[in-house]
Amino acid sequence: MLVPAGLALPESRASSLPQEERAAAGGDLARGSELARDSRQQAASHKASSQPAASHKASSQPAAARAAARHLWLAVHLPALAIECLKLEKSFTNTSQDIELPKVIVSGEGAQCEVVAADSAALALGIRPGHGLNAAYALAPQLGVLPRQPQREQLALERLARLATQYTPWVSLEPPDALLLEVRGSLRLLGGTRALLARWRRDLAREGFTASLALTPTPLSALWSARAGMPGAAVRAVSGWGPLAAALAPLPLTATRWPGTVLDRLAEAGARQVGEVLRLPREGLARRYGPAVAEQLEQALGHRPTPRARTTLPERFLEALELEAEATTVPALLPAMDHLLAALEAFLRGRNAGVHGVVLQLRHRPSRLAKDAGSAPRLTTVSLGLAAPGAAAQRLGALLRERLDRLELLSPVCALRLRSGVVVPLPPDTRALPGTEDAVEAGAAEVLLDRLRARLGEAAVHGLSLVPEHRPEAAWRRAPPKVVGGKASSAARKAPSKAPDKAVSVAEPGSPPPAMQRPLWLLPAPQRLRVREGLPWHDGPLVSEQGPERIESGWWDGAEVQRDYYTVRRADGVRLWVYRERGAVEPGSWWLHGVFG
Amino acid sequence: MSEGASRSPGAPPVQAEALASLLEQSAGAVWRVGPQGGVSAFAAGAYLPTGFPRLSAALPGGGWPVGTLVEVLSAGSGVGEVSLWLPALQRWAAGGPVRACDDGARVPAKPRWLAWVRPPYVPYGPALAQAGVRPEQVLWVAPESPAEALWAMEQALRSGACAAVFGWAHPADDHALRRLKLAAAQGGALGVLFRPLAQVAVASPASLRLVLHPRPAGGLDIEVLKCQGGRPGWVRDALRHG
Repeated sequence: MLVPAGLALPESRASSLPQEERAAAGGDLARGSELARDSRQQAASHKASSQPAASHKASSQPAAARAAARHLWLAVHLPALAIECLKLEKSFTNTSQDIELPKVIVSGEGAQCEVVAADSAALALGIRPGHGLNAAYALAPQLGVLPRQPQREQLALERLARLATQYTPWVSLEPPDALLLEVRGSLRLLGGTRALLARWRRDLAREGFTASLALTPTPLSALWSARAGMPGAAVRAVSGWGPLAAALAPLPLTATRWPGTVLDRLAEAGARQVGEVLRLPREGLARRYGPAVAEQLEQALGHRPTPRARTTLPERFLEALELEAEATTVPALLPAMDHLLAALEAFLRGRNAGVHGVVLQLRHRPSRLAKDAGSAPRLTTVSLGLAAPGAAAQRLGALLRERLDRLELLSPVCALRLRSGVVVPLPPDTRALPGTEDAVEAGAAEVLLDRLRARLGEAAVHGLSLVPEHRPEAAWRRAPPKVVGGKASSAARKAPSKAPDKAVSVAEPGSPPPAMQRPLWLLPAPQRLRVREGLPWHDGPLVSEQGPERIESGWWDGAEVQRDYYTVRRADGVRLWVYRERGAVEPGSWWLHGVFG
Repeated sequence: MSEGASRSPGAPPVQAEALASLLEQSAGAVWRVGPQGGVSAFAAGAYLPTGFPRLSAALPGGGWPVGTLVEVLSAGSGVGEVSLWLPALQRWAAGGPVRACDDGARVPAKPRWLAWVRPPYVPYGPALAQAGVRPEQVLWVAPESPAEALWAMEQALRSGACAAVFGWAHPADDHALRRLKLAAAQGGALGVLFRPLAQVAVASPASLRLVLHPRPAGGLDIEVLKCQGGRPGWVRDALRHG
């Protein structure tokens, strides 16, 4: 009646595996029964098989679904992700006794604060996820408590997902703590389930994660099974439709992560396991516990599709290089840096992509002198941002050199690490016809900007823009340099004429038209001039050439000016822009405001 | 396909000659892109009309030489040492190249930056706008030391992204000036270094060296101290039209 799907593995190939894996890979798998070895699960399995209702549901599937399942989902549940993602090996040692403290990760505030993950030391003391923080302190007065860091959990998950892409292109993130891999398509390539699971276990162990795995034909059933399983225990594997319902039946309902209120009501109805819910009439289920419950059951059994997106991860480049000989000077680092940059360029070229920036880290040799140990940094980080995404090793190398040139190596460097920023696709490299487009220069402009900023600092490179203002000091401002050839500049050019109503310029009758010639150089702040015999003096007498131009403006924002501007000339030919103050403060005083360069 | 592609570098000589003569006839209308995609090809031998007839007449090529280094020596700021350049920059920054013989009508619309490296004061946008130079084209670089300023000038000149680079960097040794000159040639930019009057006595590799002498009654006498391809001399009241 129950037709098992494929996945039968030759017994001989399984012989080299550890006991537990052999169970997963052996003939049991083909028969689609529970593989769990621990007593709790065996008991559950027994219970399930004594419930004919479950197998009845399975056999009532449509004919198409009874055939071999098209997909096989490997769920990877990481119960301790919250603590494992932090990689806390040494940071929490109790310095006085040099004994490692038990550590827990908590979430929530005040009385709601509860343990979400605990390390092995804390687990050994009896602390379990779900305990309140006070309860945890009662069990272990000396406890390292860390807040949860969802971002790092997500990063760890992405990292594992990236690892998983070597086994299958179809990897789906199941935040907060699980991954789903569709492995049916790649089983043959990888040498079957047994080999796949062994490799996955090895990968996870190397990355320092404990996980519970499950392999079933639908995403939801795999997730539930993995959540119900214990890390390190045998893999729950179901390959065909037939035994699926039976395999799900013994799972505790908490593995479904349905809302607490739903679980409570199901418990009142006597259902604590998935199988017990499966026995309830389906229509009543939707009515009493919400459509989501019924729908998820259908999805878990494969009666309804469960769409799972293929996660595409932002790619990053990360490569490190140990130096053969420790470098004490910057030039000695450069060959290694160039090597890393070349690898980055190859990485980016292969993807037709570029980066917005890179981070180069220099790892220093730990100082042998105890007194220096605290002062000398272990890592020097040089981060570089680009005006436009780039990939060329030569360009990045030139920019990094500018940074490194000004770096003083306090201690010898023993390793380099190069990390890319976000990798973005590059637009196709189109060369414009000479003279018709600005592609060549636009690129040159960005390169120049990057280079100047890398060496002189962001603050040393500006552009200018006009402000429609009558107060001379307010009529301009610093702006980010416009990348030349852009079209934005024409709008800015029009701006001054647009808002003439904002300021009021009072010009005396008979004086020259309002815009007297402006000086090319403006003093950062007006400079007080000495007065001799009632006339301004600046290294000599000043003779008026033009003026006055009266500027009265800005009464609305507290920086009011009332000035008469004159263009004056000194005996040595220097022309200056000066004004006489007419306002309330120091009326009649003379000020130098500009130089006609 | 592949055969044609492999032969293209060594095109038949007849065609190459025809192409060369065609390019010669249409000088100024055709941009030639250098091997690195730069703009160096047109830079050599290009001149910018100064906008001051008396001054242009005294300069070889009838204008400011592009793609090389020009030195301006003056007693200080305020004698019109920068405004001297603005009429030429107006068109040059907006497009270029402009040959002295060109009527200016066929200027490609490819604006480039005007870089101001370590200017003594704030370059005042409204004054630039009055002179017809768009303030948005200004790239204002403010390095702390003269040495950094020389470096920044060199980068800006070489980049090909700047039509002109004005720099105030003193002291600058012979080696640094040579580097600037080379960078200007590579980038096809107009490089102008403003230096104090005392440098008159010191030899310099700049192609053109000018000393500014303000006239007592207003206006400017320009002494051409050194001029590659021309003769040194004086231009009286250089900025007067007519």
